[in-house]
Amino acid sequence: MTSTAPRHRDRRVRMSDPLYAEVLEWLIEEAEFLDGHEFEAWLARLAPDLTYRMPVRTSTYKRDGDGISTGYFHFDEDFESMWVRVHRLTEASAWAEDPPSRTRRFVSNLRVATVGDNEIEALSYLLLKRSRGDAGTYETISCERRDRLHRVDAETLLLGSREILVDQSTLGVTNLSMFL
Amino acid sequence: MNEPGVGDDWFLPDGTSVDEFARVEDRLVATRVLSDPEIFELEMERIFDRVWMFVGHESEIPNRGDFVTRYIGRDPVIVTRGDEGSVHVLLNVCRHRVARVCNAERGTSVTFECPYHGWTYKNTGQLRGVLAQRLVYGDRLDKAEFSLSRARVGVLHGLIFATWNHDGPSLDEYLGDMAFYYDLVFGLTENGMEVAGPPHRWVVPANWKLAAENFSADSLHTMKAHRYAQELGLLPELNPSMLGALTLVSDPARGHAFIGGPLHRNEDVSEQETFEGVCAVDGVPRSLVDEVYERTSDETRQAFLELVPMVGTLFPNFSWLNNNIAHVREHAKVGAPHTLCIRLYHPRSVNEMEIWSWALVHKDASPEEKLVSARTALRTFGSSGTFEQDDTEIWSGIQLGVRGVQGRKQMNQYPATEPVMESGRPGERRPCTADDTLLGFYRRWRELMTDHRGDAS
Repeated sequence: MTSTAPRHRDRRVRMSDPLYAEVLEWLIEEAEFLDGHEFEAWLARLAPDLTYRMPVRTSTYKRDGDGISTGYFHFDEDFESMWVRVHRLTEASAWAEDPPSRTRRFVSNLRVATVGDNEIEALSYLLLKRSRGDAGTYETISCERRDRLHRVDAETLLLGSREILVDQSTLGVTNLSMFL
Repeated sequence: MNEPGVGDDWFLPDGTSVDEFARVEDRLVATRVLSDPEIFELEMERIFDRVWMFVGHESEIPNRGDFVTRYIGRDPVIVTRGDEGSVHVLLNVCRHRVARVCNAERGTSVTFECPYHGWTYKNTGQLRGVLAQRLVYGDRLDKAEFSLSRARVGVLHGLIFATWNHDGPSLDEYLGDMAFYYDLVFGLTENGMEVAGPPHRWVVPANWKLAAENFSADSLHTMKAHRYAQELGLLPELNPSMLGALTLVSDPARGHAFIGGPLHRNEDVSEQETFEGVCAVDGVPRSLVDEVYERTSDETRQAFLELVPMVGTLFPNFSWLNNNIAHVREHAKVGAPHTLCIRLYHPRSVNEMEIWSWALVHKDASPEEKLVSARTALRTFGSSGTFEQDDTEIWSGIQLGVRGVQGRKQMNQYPATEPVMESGRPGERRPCTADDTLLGFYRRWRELMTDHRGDAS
């Protein structure tokens, strides 16, 4: 899924639909895993054929397009590279996260659409607040996430792809040692 | 002319002279160079406003009318591709009432129209139109006198540099001994390199010199700061004896330096075979190996076989990483892919730098090769890079430690000294644990900072 892919507004389900509740629960639980540093549990929810991208954004005049890069990314990941990023945090020396950051992920503005038999589109906003060390200020990331979830069975959804549209062109964070 | 280091031309409010901060002869650098706002202001005038500054890559503005906006020190500039195809670097400040004439980071436009009172400039800087000119100014305004301030431009293998110093050394003279090696990194192929896309930009609460110095010649930190890569089996277990395979190369008079990679020469295989191996390590696509062989002189080729430039800094704040780095487990078995990551440590304030990080890929590489190269850059170095994450954490910690009264009295230690190695090649070579090379960065810093007339630039 690229930034130019249409959002399936015509296939959205109502908030009262059980699927909407299921996807919302999935995203809230994902935030719980990440904020709780249960990274292995999070990794288990990623599909083996995952694509996970966060394009670089630039400010452009309206006539010059949307400023969302198709060439360079803050994250451009697959399952194997996520495995390394996760295991760096769980079992190796990762000074950027040891002591760990305290993070709080607020997930909202969810829109859910069915785009195939076993394929769900989930668009959500994420506000991430990160507290590091004894700093009295937070680092903040706000973004939209455009996800595709694969239904594996009645109980299980896996993240097949995620595109992260961050709102800043210059990120106000020391590093991206956290997942979005 | 002032003798560099005499220090009679500039003092901090407490009476300390600038040359007391970089006590190169004593192998000490005062931490105040990282935390003193007055030092930072002087750096803006005496370094960033005087020497060649990296502002972008030609492939970011491939077509006539393309532009990107950048900074020289804290001055905003527009980097444009003019009608005639050449590159211009213009101060992004209207000559009328100093509004920004371009508010986008990139785009295509042959003119820049000031949104305040409508003065309009060509992308070469000339003032072309003035709103209601006859009504407001009659015939009293000579447009020829009001071009946007224009920096001097130099291009090396697609890398665009600019300076306000119109009478200083040429870019080639500024590069000094590095020019020879930069050919090996950036100039191997006919069609050269291009950026994968626009750069990462992010703000790190640390002084710019921490990153610039680290990239110039700090090989020792790899074993501790980046331990994770060994712990996960991505890199072989590093031990201090392996540092012996690395060499520091510098132009000490100009403050530039880099770390060179291990020798690849194996006496049992032919030169041609070795050359192909080194090309692979240096990221040259297989289809271009013959071209590289034909384009390089015997001397260049021999140097290339001896040592691959791996990571370096062009004084003051342009750095690059030309390296093979594993980022998934499979690489430990099949070999790590190559990346060429270039970066700028933009000084925002004494306590804050903005890192700009681009991936460069060979224009003639296959789409798959380009993708692998770009991914290798961003997964290891860049906003989310697993190596850079730890560097930025450590540099931020340093910045916290140099704010206090006691912190400001600390001295950074550069005691390790190693003799110069004779090589017959350009530059000064030393074993990779030599702090002598790192001190070269501060010797050059001191020379510029104590030179109030600009003779040293």
